[in-house]
Amino acid sequence: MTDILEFFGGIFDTSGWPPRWYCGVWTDFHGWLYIISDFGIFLAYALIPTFIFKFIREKEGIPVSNVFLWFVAFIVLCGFTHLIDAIMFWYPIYRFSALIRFFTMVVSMVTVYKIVQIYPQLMALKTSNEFQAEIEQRKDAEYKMREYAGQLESSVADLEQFAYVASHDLQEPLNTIKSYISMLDENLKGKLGDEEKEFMKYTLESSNRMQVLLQELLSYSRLGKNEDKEWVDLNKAVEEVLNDLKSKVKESGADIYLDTLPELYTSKIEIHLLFQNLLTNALKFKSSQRPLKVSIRSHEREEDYLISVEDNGIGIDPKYQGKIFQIFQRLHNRSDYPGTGVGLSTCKKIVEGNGGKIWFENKDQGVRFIIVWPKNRL
Amino acid sequence: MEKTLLFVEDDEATSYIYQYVLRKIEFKGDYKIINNGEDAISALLNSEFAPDIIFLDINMPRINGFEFLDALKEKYPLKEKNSLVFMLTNSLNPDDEKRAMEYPEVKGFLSKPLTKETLLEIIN
Repeated sequence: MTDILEFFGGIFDTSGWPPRWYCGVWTDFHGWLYIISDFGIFLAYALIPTFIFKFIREKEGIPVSNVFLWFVAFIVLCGFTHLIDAIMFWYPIYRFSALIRFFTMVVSMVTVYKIVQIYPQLMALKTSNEFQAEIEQRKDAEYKMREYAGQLESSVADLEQFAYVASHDLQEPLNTIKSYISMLDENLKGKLGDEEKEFMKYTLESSNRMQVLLQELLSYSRLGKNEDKEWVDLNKAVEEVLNDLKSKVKESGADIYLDTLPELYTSKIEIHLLFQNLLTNALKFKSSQRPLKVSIRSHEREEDYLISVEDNGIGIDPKYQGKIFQIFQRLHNRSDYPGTGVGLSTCKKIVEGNGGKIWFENKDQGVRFIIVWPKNRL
Repeated sequence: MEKTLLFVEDDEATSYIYQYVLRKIEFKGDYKIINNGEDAISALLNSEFAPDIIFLDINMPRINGFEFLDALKEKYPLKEKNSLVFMLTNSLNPDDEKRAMEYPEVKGFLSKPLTKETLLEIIN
């Protein structure tokens, strides 16, 4: 205890030792080599941390910068041990020297500990070569992706063109067939037996169905071609659609609730088609168990609108989530519910063409179609 | 002995043609036309009916012809039950034919419409 008190009491006391010049036999050359080297080391150990410090301050995003600060402290302290060593040739401050060495030891140990601690992190850091390799790989992948996207775009365009031409050109002979069957039907009125009447009925029905299919295929293939975008007041658009469907609404006895809906910048024709299809479905697939209720709601979010069309009708088995949005896929026989299987695929194409998404959710009774419609698509 | 036939076909006009053709060849056996795959599956599973020959449409609402065959694979192996399947379809897709013929129970891939000649040839 007295030792310690004495130590700190005379931390700069030099009385117990001779200056180093007088301790042992030093030649001028030997002594000055020692002094100048120590002083040089001190200078270098002062400058190195200065640069390290400047580097981590100015360069953002240096990983593990915390450990660099320990490096700075440890190097500075090492520098001081050398400076003191040089000074002791004149002033033998052995106590102060021991204290600085002690601090140097502590800081060095902590630095070692810090290095061990972050070693796995250091190993995980990428060298610039690794970065370069990764960049090359990504560039390659991006190039391939662009190539595929180009191919896909052109094959989609081909397919749309094909659907358009096919449905267009098929209309003509079909119309001829229809006309001749009608003429035949008229001329044979009263002369047909029961069986022939059935033949006539099915022929007419089938050719009418084909006409509807072709028309729907035609309009499906042209979706997205409509460049005339404008601000569409959704409330107004839905009311117009409901007006078009007036007789079906009346027939179904539906109670329709219309929320305040947003304005969307899009094609008015497509918005009409979208709601016409969703509402026609809601009216068509009503349940015989309860009076039909249909609601159209909207919820604004930061980036988009959630627009829902829900009913309390017969609902849809969730396992058909993928199937019902595909073109010509139907869940019912035509004799139960008429239709071509184009409606929901049209909705999907319209919504996705505007950068949105559509899906359905089942409720206790009925189904809810949800549309996510992104804002700011000018 | 007269065969027992099952037609799985959703289209009413097409079903009418089957009935007409059967009438024309004076078919005396038992036959059924079921207008969707699910009902046809339950008819088979409930042993309401054990057809010798099934004429199967591919493109139907809810479950298509292939899904029909897959659903029966475990519960009612058609081949072991001695039921032969003929696909009867409007499909022009060669992949559909290839896929169909991979099922051991499928004996043929026919294009609609079904004619008297084809039906007679298959039955006999």
